[in-house]
Amino acid sequence: MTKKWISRVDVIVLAVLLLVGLGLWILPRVLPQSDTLIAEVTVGGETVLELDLQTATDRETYPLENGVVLVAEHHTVAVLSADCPDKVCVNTGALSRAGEVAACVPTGTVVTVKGESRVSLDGITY
Amino acid sequence: MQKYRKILYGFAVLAALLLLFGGCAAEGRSPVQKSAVSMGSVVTVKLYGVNATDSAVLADEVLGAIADLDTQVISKNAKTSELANLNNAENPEILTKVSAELFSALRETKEIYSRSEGKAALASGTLTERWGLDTEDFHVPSAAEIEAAKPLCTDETVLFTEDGCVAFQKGQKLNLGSVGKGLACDKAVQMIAESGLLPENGGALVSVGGSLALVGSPKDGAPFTVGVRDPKGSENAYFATLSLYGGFVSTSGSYEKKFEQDGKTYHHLLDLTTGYPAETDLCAVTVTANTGLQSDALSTLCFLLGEEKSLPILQEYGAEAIFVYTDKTVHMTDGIAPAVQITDGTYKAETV
Repeated sequence: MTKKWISRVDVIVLAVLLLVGLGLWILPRVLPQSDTLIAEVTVGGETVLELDLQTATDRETYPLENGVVLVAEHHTVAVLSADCPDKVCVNTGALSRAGEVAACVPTGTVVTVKGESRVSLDGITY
Repeated sequence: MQKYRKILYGFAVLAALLLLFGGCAAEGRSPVQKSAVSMGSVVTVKLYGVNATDSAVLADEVLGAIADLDTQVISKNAKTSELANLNNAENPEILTKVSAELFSALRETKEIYSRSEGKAALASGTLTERWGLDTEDFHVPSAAEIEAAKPLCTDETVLFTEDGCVAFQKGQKLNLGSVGKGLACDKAVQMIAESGLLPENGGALVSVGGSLALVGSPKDGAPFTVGVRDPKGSENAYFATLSLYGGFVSTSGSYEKKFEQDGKTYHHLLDLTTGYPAETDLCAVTVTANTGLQSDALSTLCFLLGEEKSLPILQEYGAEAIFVYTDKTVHMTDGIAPAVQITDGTYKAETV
């Protein structure tokens, strides 16, 4: 009888390789997806600041050159104060989910939370 | 046998690699998103399925085009704006040729508002100016100012010719403030389509101060999920979600742009027949329509006219609407009801 074209060792190696491949494919789908959460701050369309909300725990303030002051704590970001007349930005409150936006229109400042949060809308109509 | 073994191993490694990379590639694509401030609000362009470099360029182009639409064409204040110059002309009674873009926007706005029983008009600028709505300098004008402004807010004296000319009475001010965002949505969609950058399974979502344009799909043919802002909540709070496959959405609500004077709250949706903010038990109307301009104009129209009178007009334009009342009851037209999910239990849908 001729030698088998595939030996036991071959089968084991193949099986291991296949399992590794499958594992690598399954893993991202099975593990709880880490919510990446970054707050991007733009002024006049230019990004001036990016805050990682995942690591933002203790309160920290970020004053911008245009008088807008941001505060990040407990994985949220908010506009603490601004030199604008209507303070809509301040009243927006804390942002914590991907897609949430706070804007100070008079100063052209926009704070957007970006990330792979599973509970997020594509947009909001208002 | 060695040869076979090598081939087998080769295939196995290849298979493993394919699974690895295939797995990575199949992970959800995050859209590329860019925002800017324009038209007094936040404008956001989101592109799905387009590579990062092309997306960044296209998003910038769209944001730039929207800013230009405002400052060069429809703004009532910008010195460079075609409309501002038209409004400030010495003799507006003389027919003036305007750009095709401005002409079609003016004419369609007049057409839609002609159904408003006088409550809305293209020529509302004289009154909105008295209230300071255009310059964010909100205040209550005197009764005399209102009485003087009302007669000038009629579209009967706004004339259009087939060769693209406009004429109106001195003292009148044409106003695209209530349709500007919808117009910007139309412009954005046109540019995105013309770019040829959206793949078959790609999509785009443009938000101009809450007026939305939806193109294609955010993922694998799925509809977009859009929140409807809670009129009584904060900026990011929503009371319902809409599942929409493409189209245009706009919302008019009394919760935005309010101000207080002498203990009374005034909103910005003026009823031109009274000269004051419309008195209604509606607090918001969301409209989906075939174009951005229509969705924006119709949401204003519905708010001013009320639900009953709006229904036949909506039907004529092939548009749908969600009416939200101050007591948190919600009425929806038949076409949109299946797409709506109320997520805030304090809001109650009522079938009419």
